[in-house]
Amino acid sequence: MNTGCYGFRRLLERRLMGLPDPPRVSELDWHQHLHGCGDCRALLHSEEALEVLLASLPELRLPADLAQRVLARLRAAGDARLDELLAYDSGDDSREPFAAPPGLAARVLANLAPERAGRSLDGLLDRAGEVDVPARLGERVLAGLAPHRKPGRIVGSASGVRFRILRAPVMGLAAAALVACLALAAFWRLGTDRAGPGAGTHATVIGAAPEAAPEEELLAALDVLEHWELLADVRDPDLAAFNRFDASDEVQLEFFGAELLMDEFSSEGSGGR
Amino acid sequence: MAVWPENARALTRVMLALALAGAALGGTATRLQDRDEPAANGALLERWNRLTVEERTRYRARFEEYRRKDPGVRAVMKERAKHLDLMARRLHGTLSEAERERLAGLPPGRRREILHEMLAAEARDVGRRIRESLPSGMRQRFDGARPEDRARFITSVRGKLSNQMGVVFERLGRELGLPPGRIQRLKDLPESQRRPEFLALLKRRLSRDLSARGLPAGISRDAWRQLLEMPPREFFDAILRLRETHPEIGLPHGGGRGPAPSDPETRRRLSAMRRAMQPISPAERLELSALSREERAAEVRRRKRSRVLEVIRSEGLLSEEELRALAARPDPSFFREVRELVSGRNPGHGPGQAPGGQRNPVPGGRRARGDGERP
Repeated sequence: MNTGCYGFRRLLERRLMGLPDPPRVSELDWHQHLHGCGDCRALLHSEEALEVLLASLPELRLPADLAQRVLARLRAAGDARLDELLAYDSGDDSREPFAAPPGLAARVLANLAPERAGRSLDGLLDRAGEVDVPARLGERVLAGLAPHRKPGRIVGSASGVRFRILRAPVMGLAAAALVACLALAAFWRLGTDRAGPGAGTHATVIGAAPEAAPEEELLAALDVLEHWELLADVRDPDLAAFNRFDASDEVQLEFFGAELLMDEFSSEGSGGR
Repeated sequence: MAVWPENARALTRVMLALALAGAALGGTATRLQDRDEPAANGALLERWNRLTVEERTRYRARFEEYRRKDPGVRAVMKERAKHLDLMARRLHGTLSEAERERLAGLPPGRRREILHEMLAAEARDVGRRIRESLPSGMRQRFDGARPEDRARFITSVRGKLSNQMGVVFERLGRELGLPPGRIQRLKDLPESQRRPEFLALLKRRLSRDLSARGLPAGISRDAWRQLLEMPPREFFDAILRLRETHPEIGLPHGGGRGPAPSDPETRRRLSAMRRAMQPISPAERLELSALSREERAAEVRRRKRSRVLEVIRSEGLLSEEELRALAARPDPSFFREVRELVSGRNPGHGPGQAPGGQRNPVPGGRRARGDGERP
């Protein structure tokens, strides 16, 4: 885990606790780190899955007559202070308030101290140890999400399911901007970085006018056009000789040339040009 | 004497390169065939589609210029482009698997630069070979001509060669025992058909001659058989390169360069000097790929100078003082002097004499391979 992970997890913790982000943090920062850090992506996914799971649990409701039945049982047990205690809860302010036992606040704080020390997200995670993921949790979570998904959205906030992390709509915009930037970069690279002779890439330009198909004659001359810099050089005497004599001339010169040309050369006197 | 192993190594290298080029040819066979067959327009279109927009624009401008050229010039350009492809495959074939991977791993721009330099060095070397096959008077006029006059000069020389093709057919036909009617039909062929027929006939003639005289030192029967199996164009591409180190490969009259030196020691020295002056190998150039183009060119020249000087020193061809004087010359003058030295036509000294009146180190030498890199 590096500094980026600490920063990211601190932000995540703030979000989980419902605290606002520091003003300097943009939504893009989240994605920049998530893009390159598999551990934090996994952590985020597990948090999201937990959120989904918790949100999908049925809301517990107590039986309507439970309170009456409990009170009846307590009265039957002969608890004399019961009605006095209930009177405090009923909003009757005429009664004397309970006096807190002396030293209670200090004792509570002292007991809470270790708990407070471990409240940071990493502290809690470290203390949690290995978590056994329920079998097919992912599938069940996805199945649970399916009815709430809207087509065409990568990240959704469906009714009844609360994404604390990704609920801000600007997050979706940032992700779209990031994807667009990556796609443009990829196009740019494909357009400029050809793999070499005979292994280039298509020169696709977004928005460019469609190019006319090459003439057959041009295609037939493609090998000449590829070697043009060498073939068209007439200043270098060696290249000029290479370019203007063909294979047959070369062989004829090599095996017969001087002898035969001298015949013609001498028949022209000093001419020959 | 170290003639045999040295020649054997040289031939092994050539044959290996040819074999690898064959393998590479297999890999890119469709590309080559596609260029010869109109039916392969799809493959050409695919190559076109792989170009970037900038490259297509550049190619269209080049095509306009190409279209304005004389049809004869266009035909030669096309033939030379095929020759360059063949060269590129052969050069690539000389690289080891690891070197090919290294080349493929270079940034595209740098890779194209290196490939272009390899090809340019080879093309210049072939050009120098052609130039030096010209009679000396013609060569001097060619070298001294203005660039715009060179094209006319070459057209004139090609015309003369074409005029003499009939004489060549007569001679080859007689030597091969062809009936007079067949010889006449060959002479009457249109220009475009006479040239491939000439190559095929000369291949037969060389093959018969070498079978009768015995193969040159260092060339095994297997190697020779592999050469003979090549089509005439590829066969002569290999033969012309082999002649640099095996000047005895040729017709009895010696052709355009005269007979090979008969003294084996002279032939060995000549071969050593020519090898030293050949372009640096593709693998060696690849080693220099981290350098800038200018730094690489300087390093190539430095290595070739050092290679040439080493041969001269180890063969004891010049005295220490002469060697120092030669080493002190700037690149253009150094390479010119060495070429003159090997060819025995240095105007500053008599035939067979090195600078300073010393005996020519390779008295049978008529010409040398070029420095391959413009100084």
